[in-house]
Amino acid sequence: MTRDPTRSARFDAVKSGDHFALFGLERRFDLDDAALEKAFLDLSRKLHPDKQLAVKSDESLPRRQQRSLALSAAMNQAYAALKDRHKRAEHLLKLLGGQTADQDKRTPPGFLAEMLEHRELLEEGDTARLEPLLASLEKREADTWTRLSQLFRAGDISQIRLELNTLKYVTNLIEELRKKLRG
Amino acid sequence: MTDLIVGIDLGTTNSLVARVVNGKPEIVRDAKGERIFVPSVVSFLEDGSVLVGKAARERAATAPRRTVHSIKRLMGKGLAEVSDDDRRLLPYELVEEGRKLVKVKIQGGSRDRALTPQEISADILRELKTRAEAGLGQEVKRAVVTVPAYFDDAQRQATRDAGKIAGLEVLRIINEPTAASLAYGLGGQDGLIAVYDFGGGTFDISILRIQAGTFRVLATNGDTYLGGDDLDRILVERALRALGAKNPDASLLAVLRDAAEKAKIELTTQERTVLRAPGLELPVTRAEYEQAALPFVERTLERCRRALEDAKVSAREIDQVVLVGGVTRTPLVRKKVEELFGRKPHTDVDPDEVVALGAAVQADVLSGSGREVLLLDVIPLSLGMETLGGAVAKLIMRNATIPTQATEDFTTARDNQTLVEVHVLQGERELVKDCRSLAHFKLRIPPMPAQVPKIHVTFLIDQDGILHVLAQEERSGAEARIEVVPVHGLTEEEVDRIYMDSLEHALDDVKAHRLIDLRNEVETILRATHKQLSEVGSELDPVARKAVEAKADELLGTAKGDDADAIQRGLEELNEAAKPLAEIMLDKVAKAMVQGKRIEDVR
Repeated sequence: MTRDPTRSARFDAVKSGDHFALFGLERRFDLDDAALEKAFLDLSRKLHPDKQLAVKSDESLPRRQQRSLALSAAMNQAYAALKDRHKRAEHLLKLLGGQTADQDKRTPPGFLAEMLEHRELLEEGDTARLEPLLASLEKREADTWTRLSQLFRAGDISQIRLELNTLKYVTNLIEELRKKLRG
Repeated sequence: MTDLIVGIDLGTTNSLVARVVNGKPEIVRDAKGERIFVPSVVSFLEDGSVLVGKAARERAATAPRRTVHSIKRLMGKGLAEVSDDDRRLLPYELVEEGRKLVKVKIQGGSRDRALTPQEISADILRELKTRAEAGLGQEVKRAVVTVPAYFDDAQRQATRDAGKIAGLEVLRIINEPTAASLAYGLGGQDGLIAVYDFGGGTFDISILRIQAGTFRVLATNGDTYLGGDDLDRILVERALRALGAKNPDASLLAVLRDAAEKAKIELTTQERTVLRAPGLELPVTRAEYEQAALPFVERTLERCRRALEDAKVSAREIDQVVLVGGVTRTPLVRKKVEELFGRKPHTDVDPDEVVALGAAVQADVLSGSGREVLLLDVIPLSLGMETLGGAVAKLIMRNATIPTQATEDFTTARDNQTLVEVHVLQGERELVKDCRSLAHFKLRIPPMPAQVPKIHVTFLIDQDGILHVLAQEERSGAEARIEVVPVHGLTEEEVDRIYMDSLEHALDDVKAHRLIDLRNEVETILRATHKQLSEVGSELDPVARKAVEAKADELLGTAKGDDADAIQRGLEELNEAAKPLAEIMLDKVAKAMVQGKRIEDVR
């Protein structure tokens, strides 16, 4: 009687690799958190391997469990990717036909030299100078995310790539600064 | 009825079996009607038989080298990972054989070899299974078994393997704090829960969000090397100092451990007690004890704060706090937990039973009872692989909801290279040497020029938190063959072999048990026969009397040997020869009853 939810057509989305489609969400960077949470819990209740023992089906239990395990794992991986804004941005860029960080390594002129300077400062470890640096980088990171959100709405995939490339350096540096200053 | 799935709490100190009856979880009772609550102690007798539980614990002082407690601390470990404290204070001998797998060496007897923690845990599981079957009057084949949330892949695998060796299908491994939240039946009310689980050997903290029957773990943290054992040690060390014993022998340690545990329990309700052991009367106050215990409790609080941080919630947002594990009876622990979360913790379910009861609820869910409950647990430690220069690249981050997976592409560096090795690790640190090595995977692929093969590897963590690796070579479409060498675990073949061996041992054990039972019977019947002879022997025909005496002597001799069948025959022959004697006794009893005398007066 109970239909086997692991066989529904929707899970073709798992194979297609579109995380938004899997959860039935619109493809957009500014995600509706509540909608994602709801879709995640609804899908979990249907797909989880624990639910398979009670399902009636002609197919053997181990096969259904195997499929349910694979689908649950893929779904949870997709959820984690959407939840994290870095991963979500990369995933959406890929869906929009953009290049990966390996394919397009551009950064703005002077950017790498500037990062190198900051790193030297970090190694010197003068707390009085590191605190303002951290504050300015945090501001810069926040501004970049705001810009990225606008760029995604405009669909400017080349500029998105460039911003994401710089963001990687900035975020890493912030993390190291926080570790140094806050322990 | 054949669908029975039980819940098992395989604990460091005690192990329990539970099941759901009429929608409510309860501890299973054995054939005598007693709740199955088995001390996790295994003692190996010289004659080859194995004692488990209370009987084994009673042998700890007289046969410390052959009596194993706290085996859970050694699950999935290498010898180098066993702490110095453990090595000094565990009375049994630890060795490392073959791969980095710690074993317990038992000298002499039919099991004169090094035993893995999996085998010893299997002895405990087998005892639980046998007693549950006797009590329930049906076979127990399938179980949900609990583990500390902070157990890594190797420790979970070891637990599953122990089940297999004991002849149990471990349908599901669930985390102890998660199980406890199920037992509290908190599913009806949405909110945030913190489960603080301070057990005999491990500490766990889990932060869960409950939403419409879904128990979702947001973050977990813990220490698989911190538990009540460590608190007992405070008192053991004090006693050793008081005795001036620098290199205590195993018997002394066993005696002191018992005394320390007793004192610790007394201090939960009294302000002061006396730790008593032969030649020692050591007064201890609760204040002194709590002062020494405080650093351990602080360590648990630090873990709680980290879990809260990972869950992105503050201590004050927690709606309910649940206490699990015997150590949470300690007033200091209750006080500190209450301070941290700003609310009184739940203590209504027995902290020793709550985990087993929760496992039974999950077993009920799996058996298709229609209970609308779903557990969404997390991987406690990040999973990564070794990259160039001994660094670790993270594949799956800690606290990710499981099941989950990560995929990675590999290629070859040399022409015709047919082997690619992948070293998988678990832990939060950046370097290989600071993480736990889980396994080496060898991917075998057809020979091709360098850089051409594209091996697509999927690292899959199942709902039990156990790792599976799948690999495919994309260009040839060939499934890459994977050989798994677990660093601290057993291979599937090894588990199967131990299981087969254990069946043979089971036969030895049965033989040994039969011998013990027969000897007991001989002792009883000889005592009774001699008593009857002295009381009514004079009324017996002298020839018959001689025959009884001869058979009794003969049986005494036979019982000293190991031939169970001969002893059985001797028992039957004595019974036969003593029939006239028994008749005289019965006669006396009958007459006495007619005369209204009590039987005791006749004897």
